[in-house]
Amino acid sequence: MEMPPNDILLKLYRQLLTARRGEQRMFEMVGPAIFPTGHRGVGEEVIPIAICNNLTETDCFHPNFRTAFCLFAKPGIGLIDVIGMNLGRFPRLHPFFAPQYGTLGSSGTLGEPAVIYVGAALANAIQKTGDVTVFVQGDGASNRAPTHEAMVVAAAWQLPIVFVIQNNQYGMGTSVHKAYNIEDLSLRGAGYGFPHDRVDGNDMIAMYQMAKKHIDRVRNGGGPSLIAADTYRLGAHYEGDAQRYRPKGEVEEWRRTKDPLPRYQKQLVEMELLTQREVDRLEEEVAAEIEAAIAAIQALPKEPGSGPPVATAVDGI
Amino acid sequence: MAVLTYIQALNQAFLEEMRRDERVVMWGEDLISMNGVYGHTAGIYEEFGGDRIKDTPICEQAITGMAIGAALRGLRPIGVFMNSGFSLAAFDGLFLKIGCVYRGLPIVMQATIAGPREDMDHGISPEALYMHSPGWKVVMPSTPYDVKGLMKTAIRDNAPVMFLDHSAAMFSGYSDGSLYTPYQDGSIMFGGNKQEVPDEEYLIPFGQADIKREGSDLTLVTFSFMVHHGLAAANTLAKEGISIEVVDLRTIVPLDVETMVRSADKTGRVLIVHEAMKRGGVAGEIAFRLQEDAPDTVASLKIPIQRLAAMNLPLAGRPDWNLTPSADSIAAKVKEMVGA
Repeated sequence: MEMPPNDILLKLYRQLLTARRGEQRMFEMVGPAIFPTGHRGVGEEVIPIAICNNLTETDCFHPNFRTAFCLFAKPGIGLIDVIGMNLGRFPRLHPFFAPQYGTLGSSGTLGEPAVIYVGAALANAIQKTGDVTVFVQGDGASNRAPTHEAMVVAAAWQLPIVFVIQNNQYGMGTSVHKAYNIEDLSLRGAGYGFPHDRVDGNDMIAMYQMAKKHIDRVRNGGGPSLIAADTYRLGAHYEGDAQRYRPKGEVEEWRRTKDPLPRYQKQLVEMELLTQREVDRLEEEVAAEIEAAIAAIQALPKEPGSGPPVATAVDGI
Repeated sequence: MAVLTYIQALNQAFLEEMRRDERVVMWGEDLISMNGVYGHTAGIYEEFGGDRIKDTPICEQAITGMAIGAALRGLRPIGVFMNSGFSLAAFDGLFLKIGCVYRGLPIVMQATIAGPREDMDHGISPEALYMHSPGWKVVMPSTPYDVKGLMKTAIRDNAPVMFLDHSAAMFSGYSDGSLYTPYQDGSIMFGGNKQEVPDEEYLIPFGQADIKREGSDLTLVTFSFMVHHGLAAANTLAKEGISIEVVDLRTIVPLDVETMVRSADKTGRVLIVHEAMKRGGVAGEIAFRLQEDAPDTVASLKIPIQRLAAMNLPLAGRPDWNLTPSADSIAAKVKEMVGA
C-alpha cells in the first residue's frame, strides 16, 4: 500500500504524542474521574488517530470509549474540547455528542451504539450526504447482540459504514481467547459478506493505510466492511483494577516490544523524518499546547450547574 | 366525509405526513412485503419509494437504535414493531437510550398491543414500562378518528412517542369475527368497524382526554380497547338506570388530569380500567396523580378510587377474555361501586 506523505506521517506522530501526554495530564488532574469514568486508552491510541485522519468534519465516528481523548483528532473537534470534557466544561461542544461533527454519544451498555451509528449511516445514505461512518468498539463489546443486528442491517442495505473491532485482548477481565473461538476477529466479517482485514493496530503506518483503504472504498460507493485491529490495553480496565487476570509479564512484554509511541517514534527516526532533537522539541510543543488548552478551560467562567449536555452517554459500564 | 376502518385511518395519517415532510421515514419488519401485516403501511412504498420506507431484517434492536442515529442526522423516523412484545427485545434502546439518555428526538415507535392472544410475545400491554421511562409520550388510541389525528400529532412531535395500537383494532377481525363480535354493535369502532373521518386535515393534541359517553353516577377512566368494553358496559348499565361517564385518556403521557377531575367532581366515583396486569399497571399512577393534583376532589369522593385490570398472571396460551376486564366484569364492578 502507498506510503502516506511525510506531512501526514508527522501529523500522526504529533497527535499520538498529544493523546498519550494529554490523557496522562488529565489523569494527573482528575484521577479516576477521567472521562469516561476512569477508563483509559494508553496503548490503543493509534487506531482512532489513524482513522480520524481519513475522515471529514461531517463523517460520523464512534471511538472505543476507552480512547475518548483521541476524539480531538476528529475533524471538527479539538484538543480544548476533550480537555474540557475531562475538566467538566464544554465551551463549544461535547466531543462525544456533536452530531454536526458525527459523534452521536455512546453507551455504558456496550455494543448498543452500533445500532445508533448504523442509523446515522442509513440517514447519510437516504439523504445522499456522501458522509462515511466509522464505528469502533472493543473485542468485548463486539460480542453483544446490537453489534450483530447493526451488521445485519448494514449488509442488507449496503450502508456506508466501516466497522472496526479494536481488539485490546481483554473485555474487562475476560481474555479474548475465552470469549472467541477465532484468533483473527476480522473473520466475523465473512458471515455478513463484508470485505474484512486484520491489521496490527499498534503500527501507525499500517493502521493508517488500512483505515484509508476501507474508508476510501466506502466513500466511493462500496458497501460496509470490517477491520479487526489488534492492540493491547497497557493500563487497567479502570483505575484501581488489580488486574489479577493478566498472566505475569504480559503487560511488560507488550510495553517493551509494541507500545505504539516509542515504536512509531523509532520508525520515523529510522526513516529520517525525525531527529532526536525534533523529538525533544515536539515533546515541549505538545506539552505547551496541552497546558494552554487547560489554562483556556480553567479561565472560563464557572456557570453554576453547568455540566455536559443532556444527551451524552458513556458514564459507566 | 370518508368512512374508514382504524387501519385505513392510520394509513392515511402516514401518507399525509410523509407527503408533508420528506424527512419522515419509516422502517420495520414486512412493512412493504406484507403491508405491515395489518395493512397500515399499504401504498407507502408505491408512492414514496424505498428510501422512505424499508423492510428490515428481523432486528428489533436495530429498528430502535437506527431511529436514534437517523434522528440525530436529520430524519424523523417511525420505527414499527409488529407486536409490542417484540419491542421488549430492544428495551435498552427504548427505555434507557431514547427514554432516558437522548430524550428529545423526533422519533415515533409504533407497536401493536393486545390482551389474551396466543402468547405474551405477541400479546403484552407494556404501556406501564414506557410510562416509567422519562422521555416518552405514550399514545393509546381507540377509534379511527382518534388514531389519525393522534398519529399526525405524533409524527410532528419533536419528542419520542410510543404509539400503541390494540390488536383488536389492527386486525380487521378474525375470519369468523368471534373475538370481537360482542363489541361490534355500531357504537364501537374496532376491527373491521368503520367511523366517519373528516376529509379535511385535523390533529388531536396530546394530553386531551375525550369523553366518549357522558354520565352522572361514575367516571370510568380508560384507554385503547377497554374504551369499547366500557361503552358496552355503559349500554347495559343504562338499561338498569345507572349512568356512567366514559373518559378515554387517548394519551397516558401526557395525562389529562383536568378532565378526569372535572368528571370525578360531577360523578363522585372513579373506576380506572386497563388491560395490562394490575400490579404496577398505570391505574396506580393515574390514581395517585389524581390524589396529588386534586386532593379535595379525591377526599370528597363517595367511595375510594377503584381499579379493574388483568390478573397478575402471564396471559400466555390463554385466549380467554375472562382474565382481563370485559364489559360484564366492568358492569359488575360499577354496580358494586354505586351500591346497586
